[in-house]
Amino acid sequence: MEYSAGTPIYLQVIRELQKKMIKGELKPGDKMPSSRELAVLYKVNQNTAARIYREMESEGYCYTKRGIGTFVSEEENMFENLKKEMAEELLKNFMHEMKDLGFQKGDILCQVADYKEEQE
Amino acid sequence: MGKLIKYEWKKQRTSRMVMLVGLAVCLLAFIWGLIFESDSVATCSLGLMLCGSFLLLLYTGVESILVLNRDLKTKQSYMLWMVPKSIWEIFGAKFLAAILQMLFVFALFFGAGCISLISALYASGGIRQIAEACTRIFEFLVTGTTDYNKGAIFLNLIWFAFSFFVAWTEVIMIGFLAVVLSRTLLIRSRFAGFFAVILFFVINWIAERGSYLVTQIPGLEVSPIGMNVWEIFYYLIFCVVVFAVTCVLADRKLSV
Amino acid sequence: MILECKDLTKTFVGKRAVSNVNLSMEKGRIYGLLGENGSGKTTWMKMTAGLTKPSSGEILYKDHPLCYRDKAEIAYMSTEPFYYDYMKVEDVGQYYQDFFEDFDREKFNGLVEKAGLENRMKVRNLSSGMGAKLKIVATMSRKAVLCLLDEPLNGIDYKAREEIISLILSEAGEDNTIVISTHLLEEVESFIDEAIFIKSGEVLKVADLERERITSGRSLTDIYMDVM
Repeated sequence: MEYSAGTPIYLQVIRELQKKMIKGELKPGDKMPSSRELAVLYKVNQNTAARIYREMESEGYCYTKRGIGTFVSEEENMFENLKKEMAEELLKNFMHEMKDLGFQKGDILCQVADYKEEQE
Repeated sequence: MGKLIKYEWKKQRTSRMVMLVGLAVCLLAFIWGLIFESDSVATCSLGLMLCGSFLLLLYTGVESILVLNRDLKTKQSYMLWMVPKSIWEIFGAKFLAAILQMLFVFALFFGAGCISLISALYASGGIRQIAEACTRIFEFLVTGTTDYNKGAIFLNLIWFAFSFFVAWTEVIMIGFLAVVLSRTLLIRSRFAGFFAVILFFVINWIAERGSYLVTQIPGLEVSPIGMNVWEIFYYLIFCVVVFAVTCVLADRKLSV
Repeated sequence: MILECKDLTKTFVGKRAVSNVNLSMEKGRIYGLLGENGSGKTTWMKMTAGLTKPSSGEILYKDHPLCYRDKAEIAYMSTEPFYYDYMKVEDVGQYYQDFFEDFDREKFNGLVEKAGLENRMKVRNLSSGMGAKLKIVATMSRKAVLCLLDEPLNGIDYKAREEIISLILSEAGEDNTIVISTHLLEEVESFIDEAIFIKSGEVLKVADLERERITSGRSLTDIYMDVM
């Protein structure tokens, strides 16, 4: 994956993994890649890989069964909440930037309604 | 150690092949000369083999020095210096491999000599003469040591071979030192090879001076064949010292 | 501490290739040795690998002065090909097996196949990408405590680079230390723990990259531009 410069790598990978959980690419109870696989997959070192799982575990997104591996948390509403959180954050940023440009909420709503999605 | 020798032995593989092929050609030419009674072909090929044997014995020694120089000059030096072996083992293996190569050449030409002899005997007198010759050689070997004259010749031969071996060892040891010296003093210089050659002759000269002094010690008789005991003794010590200096120097200073 | 360099200096005729380098390296980390060509990266590595003798200063491996026995635990891979001309891929495996106790022949065979190499191939005739892969496969098939990789990504195409990086990352762990020298910053930015910036033989800065991103938001290239 492409990393943006200057943001901690472990946060970027966590975000990527969270997206996979929200999209259902990683389902509750699924086995997550081993930290070695994670390192190769995301081009990070072992210390970063370990940190990623440590952080995600402490926030409850996954849990470790000793000697077996790391698994996606089985509390489904957790990912619903995560989805909302992420959306809220994106929206907040978006609104902030738009207001910087001088748009009011009403204008923005109209613009969103008129917005034509780009053709792939 | 054995494994180091194995890889050193492989480095002189090409020259062994060339020698084998060359010798086979000479042998065939000799036998062809015998069969078709062409004296010139037979003599020429025999002469070639005789000269070749001596030259190649010397060349084999020089080649192991050249191999060391190449080992140090190119990136292939990492192959030897990345393995967990002491410098003593590395140079020891190089020396032992050089001896093996020399023995190989010796055996090769000895074998070729035997074949030539047998075929010559066969061509001139048939199988019976070969049998007679064999009996005589056998008798000589068995009774040789008890019979004073024959025994002396035999001993002299061994003595000569030993003297030759010591002289040859000295050449190789000096060669190793010269190469290591030039590679420690003139790292990666284009003249390192040339410098090594000069160093080789300088050290050789020093060795000769020393040996001359040894023969000047009163009360020492000069052996008619090969070297006398004191000279051998001197050269052996010289070799050990040179080898030790080479290893210590390489251990402290040699960068590859 | 796996490795410590104290005032390490190497002078070639009239030129300081490495100058008063003080460094220490820990277990379980990946170090990036970064600098331009001719900045002293290779000389430093060859000294640490025991190939080049320092002019002054000292190298401590596991708290004792570096000696030839340590080469059993230190793996060095040079930029240039260095195998004997007559060797085939399988001979390289045999050579490592003959001399390194930590070498895993089966792993080597597996990685050789994965890299698209064949046992019967002559080393001399390999393309530069293939040659680079063979070197890294042989080196990483050892369970070396300290791995010194000199420009493993140099002069090879994108795909081979990715393969080599994957191989390094799958072998890196908490029991070994890996040092990669390179001038290709983008290639290594995401996975090196610590960056060592070296210029004209001197170490200018050692930076923990993740910590830099957290505290100052600077990327590897940012620091590189600042320091160099």
